[in-house]
Amino acid sequence: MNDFKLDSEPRIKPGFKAPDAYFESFADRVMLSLPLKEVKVVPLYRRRPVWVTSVAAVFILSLSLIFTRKDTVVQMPDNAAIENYLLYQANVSSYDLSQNLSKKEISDMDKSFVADEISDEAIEEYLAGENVSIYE
Amino acid sequence: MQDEKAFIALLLNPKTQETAFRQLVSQYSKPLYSHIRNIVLNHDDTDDVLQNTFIKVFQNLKNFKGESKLFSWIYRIATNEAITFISTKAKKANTTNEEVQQKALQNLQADEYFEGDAMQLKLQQAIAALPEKQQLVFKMKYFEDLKYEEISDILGTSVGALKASYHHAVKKIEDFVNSH
Repeated sequence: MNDFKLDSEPRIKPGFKAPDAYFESFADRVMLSLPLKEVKVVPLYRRRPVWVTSVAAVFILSLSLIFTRKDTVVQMPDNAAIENYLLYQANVSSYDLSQNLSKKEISDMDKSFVADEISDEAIEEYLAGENVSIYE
Repeated sequence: MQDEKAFIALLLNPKTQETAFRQLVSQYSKPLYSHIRNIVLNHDDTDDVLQNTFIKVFQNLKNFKGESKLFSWIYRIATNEAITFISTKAKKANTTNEEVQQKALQNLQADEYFEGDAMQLKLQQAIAALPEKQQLVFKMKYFEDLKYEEISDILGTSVGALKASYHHAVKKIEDFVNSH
């Protein structure tokens, strides 16, 4: 056969084929092998402006202070309650008392008991009421 | 494809890159498979070269200057990858590119992914006997039906030289078929 002319023949195909469904999965395989840059995940706190974070911090701190203070408010006892406690409940000696008083407070107390400030009538009245022998 | 510049911008933008590149792979995988398969002949080798081609395209996108069309640039990378693949295989086997091609041709008859008849096989044998450049030009013109201008952009050879190569190739193939 000596008359073969390529251009006079129907176009001859190369005869190659790819496996079934080869191209369906090919794109996925290629994408997996690419050195794609990962999109950086920015933490939520970094996205907020600093002032927003600051305001939030102050707000939370204020709330915590309010609630904390509410919980720790102590009802102070009045003077009568203290006196009653010291008189009937507490096992407090004069020594203990003096330890908790300043020198000035003690001297003030002494002054209030200075004899010349107490009238003779008051002394007599006190002694008359008390069953005290003058020899004791 | 949409405006090439806009598409390249999508390929370079990290936010749109993945979607755009997937689109590029979908569009080019079939024609590039044929182009590479015509050069390396074996399916598994074609699969390797095709994947490497897309990886190279992806890695070099930032260097694409737009001096040639994206199509020509991608085909040039694929052609270089295929030829480099054969050369590497030849070096590893301590043989020549031609011998590697001949061996691939011998395996073609047993290849489950070659469905050619006797005439198609004879044509492949005739092509394998051509010089490398003539093989390339013939395959791109005859099998892939690319225009001379496109082949010129891909191979960096003048249209006149390509026409001459093609006509030489056709003559040699006809002689081969007539004498075998």
